[in-house]
Amino acid sequence: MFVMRGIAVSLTFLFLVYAGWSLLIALGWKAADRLREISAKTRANLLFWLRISPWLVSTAIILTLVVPAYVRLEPRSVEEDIALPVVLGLACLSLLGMGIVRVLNAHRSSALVVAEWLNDANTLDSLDTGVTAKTYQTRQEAPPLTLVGLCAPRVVVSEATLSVLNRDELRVAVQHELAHMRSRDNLKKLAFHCCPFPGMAALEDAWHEAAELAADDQAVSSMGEALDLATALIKLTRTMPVRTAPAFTMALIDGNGSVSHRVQRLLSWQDARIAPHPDWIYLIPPALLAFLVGIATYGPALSRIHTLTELLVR
Amino acid sequence: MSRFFSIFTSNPATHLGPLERQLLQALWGRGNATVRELLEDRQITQAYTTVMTTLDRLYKKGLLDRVAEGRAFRYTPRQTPDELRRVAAVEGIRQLLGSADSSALPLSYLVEAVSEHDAELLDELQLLVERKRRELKKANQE
Repeated sequence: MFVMRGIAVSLTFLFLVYAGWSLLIALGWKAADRLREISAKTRANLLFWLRISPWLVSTAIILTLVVPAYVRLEPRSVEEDIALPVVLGLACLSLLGMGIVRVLNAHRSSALVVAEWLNDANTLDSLDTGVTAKTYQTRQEAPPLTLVGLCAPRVVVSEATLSVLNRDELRVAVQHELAHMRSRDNLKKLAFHCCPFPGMAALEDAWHEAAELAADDQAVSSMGEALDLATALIKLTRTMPVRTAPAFTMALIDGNGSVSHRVQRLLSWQDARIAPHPDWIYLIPPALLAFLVGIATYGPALSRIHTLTELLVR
Repeated sequence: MSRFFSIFTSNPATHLGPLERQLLQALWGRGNATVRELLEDRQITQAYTTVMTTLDRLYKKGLLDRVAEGRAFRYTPRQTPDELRRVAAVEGIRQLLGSADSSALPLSYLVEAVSEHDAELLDELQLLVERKRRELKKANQE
């Protein structure tokens, strides 16, 4: 009974913290996104961590506070009414189930579309991309260039794209998709599906836009390459209908974000986007501060959590 | 036909006079202001009563909020420039869609206009890329 009660209490806290934190993020993410001077890559990373923070924060609180408080302070022999924790615990399990169903549905629909694209596709060996990633030329109707796959990503290039772009433009466009691969953007999309909560679409769109700009930045290393990528974007936008990419894929052009904005950024490529320090260096002071505050207030925090637990199982 | 032309008369953002636009710009720049404060900036050269009447008109159009401050009013824009543009666009499109008997027609006009706009934009971008490429080639030759 002690263990069952502990599980119900932990799931209850998980549900409450997840819902509360998600609401906070859904309402307040734009405030954190006002740092316009940061690079596209940093912005994409910031938005990604904000989006998945509800699970991270709620899991961290359960593991570091709720479970230890329960094990240390809850008497083992007491019989208490656990109706409320059971109901909220079931709500938490429903939330987890919803996340799993969303992921499975999206994965199944993406896999079907990608399988169709790869049907009769040829491997493209002639691209000097400098990265070992499989690139396929598809004969099916597909977006111009798309990164597909979660664990073993591949780049799918439509036949029409090969006829429209010259060799340099194609090489830098593939580099754009490989930048998505290095950033594991398809896996990040999967992580978003694991965190269901209403009102997060705008945050996900903003992340998508930032991820595209970050991939543009990483794909080019000279003004010439920036102009090649800009030309590729213009040619492909002009000649091919914009399609919505399947859930766990990243397409070069898919209607998210403005091609005009991307081209104009590439035209001003000389505004160096090289960050003087890696992104994570800015996280060290607040993380250290949070760690020290956490140690100093750990004992009182456990007893407060236990008081809250008592309110739930009274 | 009269419903079609109403787009250009009933939509507040497309029916603003020059002074109304100037005053809105000034208020967006300052956040809020009284008539006297706007005149003190010397960007607006009209008479006090003209400015006061125009601000009152903007208030009645629903574009400004106002609170009494002594014997005057302090005016604040109700929307940001982006919000106002969005409201104007949505209102214009809504009226366009409702302006003909066949609902498919105005939508096709819209698609045609957007396509033309996109094509022109892409042409402009292509020209910019080509110009930049020429500059780069020239710089490399030197």
